[in-house]
Amino acid sequence: MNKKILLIEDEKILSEMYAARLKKEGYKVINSQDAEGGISLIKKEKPDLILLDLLLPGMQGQEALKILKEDPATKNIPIIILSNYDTPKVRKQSKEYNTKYILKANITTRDLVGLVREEMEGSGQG
Amino acid sequence: MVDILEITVLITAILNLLLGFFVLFQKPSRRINRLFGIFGLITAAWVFTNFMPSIQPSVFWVKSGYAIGALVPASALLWVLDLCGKKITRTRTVLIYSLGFLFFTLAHINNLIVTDVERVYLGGYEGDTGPLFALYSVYIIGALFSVLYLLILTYFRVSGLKKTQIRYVLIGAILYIVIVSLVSFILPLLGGLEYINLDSPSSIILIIFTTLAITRHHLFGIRLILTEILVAAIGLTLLIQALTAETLGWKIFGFVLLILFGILGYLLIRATLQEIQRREEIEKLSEQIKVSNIRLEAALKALEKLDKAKTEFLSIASHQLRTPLTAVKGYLAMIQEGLYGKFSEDASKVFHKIYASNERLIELVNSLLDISRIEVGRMEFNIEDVQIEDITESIIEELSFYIKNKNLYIKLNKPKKSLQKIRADRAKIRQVILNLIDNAIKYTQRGGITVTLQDLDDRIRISVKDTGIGMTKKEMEGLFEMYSRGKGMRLFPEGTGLGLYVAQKLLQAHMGKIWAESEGKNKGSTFHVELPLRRR
Repeated sequence: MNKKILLIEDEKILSEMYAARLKKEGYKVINSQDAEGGISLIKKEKPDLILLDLLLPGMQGQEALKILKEDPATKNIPIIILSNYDTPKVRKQSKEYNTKYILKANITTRDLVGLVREEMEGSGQG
Repeated sequence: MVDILEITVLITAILNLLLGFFVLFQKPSRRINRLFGIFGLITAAWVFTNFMPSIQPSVFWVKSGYAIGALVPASALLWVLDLCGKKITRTRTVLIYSLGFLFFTLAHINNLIVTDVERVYLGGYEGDTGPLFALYSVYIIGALFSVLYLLILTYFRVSGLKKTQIRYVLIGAILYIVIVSLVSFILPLLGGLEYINLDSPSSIILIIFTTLAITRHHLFGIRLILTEILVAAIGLTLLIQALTAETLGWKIFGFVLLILFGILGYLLIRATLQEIQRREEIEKLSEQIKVSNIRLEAALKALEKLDKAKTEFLSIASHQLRTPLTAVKGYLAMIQEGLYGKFSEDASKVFHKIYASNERLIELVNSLLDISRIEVGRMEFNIEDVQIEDITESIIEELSFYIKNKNLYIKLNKPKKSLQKIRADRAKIRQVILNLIDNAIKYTQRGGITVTLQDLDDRIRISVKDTGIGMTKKEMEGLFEMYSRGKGMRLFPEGTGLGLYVAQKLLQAHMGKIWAESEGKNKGSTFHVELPLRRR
């Protein structure tokens, strides 16, 4: 069965791009444009990995990360923070939750595929 | 027969009168001086009416005592209101004085408050009380408590000079009330009636303290007044001694002594006055410093807020700038991967050029954000154990596509024994090494790049040597400054001019250093980085 990725990203041009690239690799991609919608989709869709943007309309990515990592039902789903918003505070928070923090502008879509694969294998082993 | 207590009462009346006039004429333009002056004069009149029955025992004087006594708290309430910064409106003044004059009239013209006069104690006269005496007492006590309440409330609200002023008035008022309670109520209850007539003279205490508070200049003048009283008392004693000396010789000696003491006394008073003035100046100065400190603190807070806002703005702005750049980068990478079909070689070259330009923009945004953080001291470092070989190898792997594309070689020389780990921020050290190797690729058209890692016992050295365009001595000047490309060189045609500046700043934060060597134009360059090994 195809692995499922939940992409929480409000920039349409980027969500379409990431979805297109990940679908090529055979992943099933579900997109949510805000954190609230993303969180409510988790129960229904049970994704294998979450790609989380930080600057979002409504609830911010940092808060969503806290909720997901502190909820026993979702804390084991691997999350990759994928954002162009970069502050030491957020970096610290992602480290606390042992979450990868990737600056979108610094990676290509191919790099993202590599990262996703690595993260899923990592969680599979764990 | 007038006795000593009654003389005290008369002297108090005169002193009250003088103090009232003194405050009134010291600065009649100030409302508080006028209000207090009136209070002083009314008090003087009240004390005087307390004295008069001793020489002319009549019901008129006793009634006058109660009548004027009704005006004392009214006048006190008005100037205390002013002292405590309350508004003195015409209505308020009229209302307060109307109440005072009501009791004044009641006491004076009929038998409602006092009916008759009788000598009650040695040196004292009291009246037989009338039906409204209780109401009169309630008015007096109520007004006095309002004054005290107002003073205490204000005392805890204000600071600085005002607090000192109110403290003086409070001390005076409390002492006055304590003495009055003692001689009029407590001692009579214990059988001691002989001091009862000290009640009105003790008002002088309140008057002196409030004069001190109001005239400001003598705010710290208690010591001065004590000194003056002491000098006057000794001077008077010396004068009496000189006048009453039995022989001429003793008289002369007495006067000489008096003159000498006069000079000494003058000097003593002057020195005390000077000290008081200095203290007042210091007090004023410290008050000013306090105000300045408060302003400074507020300014600092505003500045910190601004600094935070600026950093936050930069983070958001960088995010907004990076979003379209990310889309360009991502789609171009997908095109180059062949996900959208095959393109001609020419088109591929163009795509590569667009990709490279886009990379430059991304690098520029990253550098600008780094610089702004470095400049405001908000760059944060995440220090951990870092293995330099691992970082270098991963960078070489990452850049191998470009190296192969330019037909360059890359060699990595590292010692057989693995390097000691350094304590550093992995991402930032990676950024520095990546920048150096990336530069070497950009400025080398033929040959290649050699990266050498050395363990120098107390430090690690990373050297990136290329066979590229090299640098003249002049070009090497200011290489690590911001926008060093502006120095009349054609150096770094593809760079942002910020990379080496950022690299140097990041290394400085790690107590490391960076420098460059080149034999000259077209003879290649070598960039060296050294990072200290910090023993844990």
